[in-house]
Amino acid sequence: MLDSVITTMGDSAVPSLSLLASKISTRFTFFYTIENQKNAESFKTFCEIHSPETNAEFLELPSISMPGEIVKYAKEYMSGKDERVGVFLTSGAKQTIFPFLINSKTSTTVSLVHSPLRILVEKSPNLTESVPIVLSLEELLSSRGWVITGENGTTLKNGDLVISDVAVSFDAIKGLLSFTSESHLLKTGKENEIHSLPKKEKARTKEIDQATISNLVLLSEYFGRNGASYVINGVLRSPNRSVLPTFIKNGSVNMASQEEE
Amino acid sequence: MPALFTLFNRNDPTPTARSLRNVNYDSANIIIIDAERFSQKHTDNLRRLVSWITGSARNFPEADKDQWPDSLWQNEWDWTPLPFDKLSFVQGAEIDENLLKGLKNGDYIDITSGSKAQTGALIKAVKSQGIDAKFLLQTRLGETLNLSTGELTSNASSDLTLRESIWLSGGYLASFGVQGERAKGEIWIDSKKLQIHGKTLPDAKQVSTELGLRRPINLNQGFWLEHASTHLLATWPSITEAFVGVRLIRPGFSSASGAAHYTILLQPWMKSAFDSRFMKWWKDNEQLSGEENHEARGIFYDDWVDYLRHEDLSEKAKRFFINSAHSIEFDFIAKDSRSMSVITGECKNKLKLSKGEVGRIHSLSKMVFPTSGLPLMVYSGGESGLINGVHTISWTGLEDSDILEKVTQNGSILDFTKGGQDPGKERTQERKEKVKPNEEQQKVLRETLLLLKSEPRSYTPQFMILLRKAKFGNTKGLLNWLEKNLADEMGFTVNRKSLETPQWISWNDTIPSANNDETNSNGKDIMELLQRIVELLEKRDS
Repeated sequence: MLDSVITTMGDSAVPSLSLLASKISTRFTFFYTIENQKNAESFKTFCEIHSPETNAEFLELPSISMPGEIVKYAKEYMSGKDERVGVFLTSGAKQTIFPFLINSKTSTTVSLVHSPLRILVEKSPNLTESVPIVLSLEELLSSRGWVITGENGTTLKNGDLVISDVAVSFDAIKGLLSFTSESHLLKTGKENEIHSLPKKEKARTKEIDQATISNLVLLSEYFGRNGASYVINGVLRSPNRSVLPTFIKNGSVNMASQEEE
Repeated sequence: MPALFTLFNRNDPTPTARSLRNVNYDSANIIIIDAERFSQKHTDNLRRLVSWITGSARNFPEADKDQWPDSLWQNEWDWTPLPFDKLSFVQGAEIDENLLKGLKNGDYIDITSGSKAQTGALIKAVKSQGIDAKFLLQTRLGETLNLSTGELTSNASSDLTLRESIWLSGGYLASFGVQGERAKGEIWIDSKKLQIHGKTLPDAKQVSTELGLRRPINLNQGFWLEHASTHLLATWPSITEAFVGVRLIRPGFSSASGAAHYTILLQPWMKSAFDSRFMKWWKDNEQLSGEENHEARGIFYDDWVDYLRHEDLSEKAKRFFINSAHSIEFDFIAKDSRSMSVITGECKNKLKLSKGEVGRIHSLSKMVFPTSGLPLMVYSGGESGLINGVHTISWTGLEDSDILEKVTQNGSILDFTKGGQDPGKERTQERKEKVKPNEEQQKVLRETLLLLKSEPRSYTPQFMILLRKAKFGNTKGLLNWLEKNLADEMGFTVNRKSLETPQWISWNDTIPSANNDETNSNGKDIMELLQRIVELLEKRDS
C-alpha cells in the first residue's frame, strides 16, 4: 500500500472515483484549479458521506491560466514528501499533474485502464500491481451531485436542476458513462415523416430537440465532454442536426436493430 | 547546446511542430511510437509533418499527377524550413530507454505531444537513467513552460504562422487575400456609425477617405464587412495574423485542377484565358457505354491537368487558376495566440440570421480544423450573443478584444425567430416549391456530382456551397430529386444518415475508400516512409 496518492481533478468523474474505490492508500490528495472547483466540492461531499474512513484532502492549485505558478507549487509540495507517494496520471491536464511526477522522488505512477476497469500501480517497469475496480452508476452520479429519480428512471436531479427523458447507464467493464436521449420524431414514431411534417409540427420538433440538446450540454458541464458518452437516438431535423455539438452523437440505433430482426 | 526529444503526435502533428519550432536545440529526436499500427490518417499526418519540416507542402503529394508545376506553385505558400540536418526520427513499439540514446544532463524533453500514459512512461524512462533533463510543455497561451522550474518563455516571435497551422491541422494550402492591419482597424473603430433600417453601418465616405481607398465602399455589397471584421480583429492583442478572403486548396495538383475547372466554368469572364477545348461541361456521349464514357471523361480531365501543367499560361490565366483552385473559402481567418485557435469567419451584411447560416460556418470550421477551429459569425445587426453555440457578433462588437469571452460568460442566446417580424408574412415569403431543375441546372448538378466523385465532399454544407456558387437556386427536395432522376443514370446511392460527411454518396463503379479510422495493416511500411523522409531531406539539402 502506498503512503499517499496525489491527483489533480479533471472533468471526468470516473477516474477520481475509481482511485478512491481502489483503496491503494488511505490518504489521497485531490488538487483542483479554480476552474474545477464545482466538481471538487461535489466530490468532497461524496467522500465525506461514502468514504469517511479515507483521509481525502482537497487542495486548490493556482489557476490553469498560470501554469508557471502550478509548477512552482508542485515543486515546493513534493520537496517535502519523503514518503512513498503515487502520482495518479489519468485525471487532469498535463500541465497540472506532470509537475508533481517530475518533482517526485519515487516516480511511482498510478493509472486507470479499462476492459476490465482496473487501477495499475507501477512502482518500476517490472513491478506493476493491478487492482480491479467496481463502480455503480449511482455512485458515479452522486460524486457530481446527481441522483436518478422518477418511476421510469430517466429523470436526473441535482438540487433544483431537473432533467427528464435522459437514460443513463454505466458500462462497468469499459468504465463508460452514457447519457442517451431520443429525438422527438423517434419518440412520436414519426421518423418517416421527417420531410412531410406540417410547419407547426416542424417548429415544435425543433424546439423540443433543442431542449434535449441543451440537457446533454448541461450534463457535459458536470461529467466532461470526454468523460461520458452523449447520444441522441433517432433522426434530427436541420438545423439541429447540422449544428450538433461534436461531443453529442446522433444515431438511429433502434431503427437499425429493427431492420436486423 | 542541448538536444531535444519529442514525441510525434499522431492525431494532429501541430504540437510536435510547435515543439520543434519553439525550442532552441542542437539536435532534435522525433520519437514515433507504435508506427506499425498506424492508420492511414496517422501516416498522412506523419507525411504532413515531414513536408512541413522541409518548408513546403509541395513535397507532400506522392502521385505524379499531383505534383505541382513550377509555373503555378506560389512561393508565398512556403515557410521557413527546419534545420533538417539536426533532426532524426526514432521509432519503437513502446517508450523505453532505447529511444533516449544520447540523452544527457541539460537536454530538453518536450511532453506536449503524446498521451498521458506515454508521457508518464517517458518521464520515468528519463528519471530511471538518473539524467537531469529539462521537461518542457508548449502551453495553449503560446509559451514554452519549463516543467522543472515553472519558467515561461514567450514564443510570440517564433511560433507557427497561420499558414503553417492551417497546413498542419487541416492539410490545406492557404491562399490569403488582404492582411488585417491594426492601423486600419483603429480607423474602423473611430469611424462614425449610422443606424439605417436597423442595421449598424459605417459612414462609407468617411471611412473610405481615411483608409485612402480609390473607390468608396459600397454598403450594398458585403465586402466592406469582411474587411472591417479582419482589420478590427487585427487590433486584438492576441491575434497574431488575420486575413480577408482565405481560400483553402487541396495539396494534390489534380484535385486543385478539378476544383478550378468547376469554378472557372461558372465565371464566364475567366473562360477566354484558357483553351476553349476545356471550357465546357463534360457531356457523356450517348453512343458510348457507361464504362467508355467514364474512361473518356477521365481522359478529358487528365488532359486538362496536363494542359495546365505544360502550357505556357498567361499571367491572367495563372491568376484565375489560383483564385479558383480552392475547395473551401472563408470570409476571414485569424490566429488567436491566447486560445491557440484558428478563428474562421463568415460575414452577413444583414439584420437577422438564421440558424442554418450559422450552422454552415460551424460545420465548415469543425471539418477543416476539428480541434482548433473557432467559428465566428459577424453581421451588421446590433446585438452579440450565441446562436447554437456559435459566437455571433455585431461587427462593432469586434472593437472589444474580450468580446468572445464576454459572450461565452454571459451565455446570451440570439434568437431571431421571436418578435421583430410578422411570422405569417415571413412564412409566406419564404415558402418554396420543391426543386424542378431545368436543363442548365441539371448540367450543373451532374458536373458538381462528378466533382464530388473525384474529390469527395459532404452534402451539407459543401455540396450546397458549390451549388450556391453556381447560382443554382432553390434546393428544397433536391435529395429526393437526385435519387429519382440521377442516381440510376450516374450510378450512385445516397446515404441520408451521413449527409454531413463525404460518405453521403457512394458510387457504384468505384472501390470504397479505406476507412481512415481503421488500422492500416496493409499500408505503407513505416521504414519505407522514414526512408522517403530521408530522401526528401536530402533532396532539399541538394
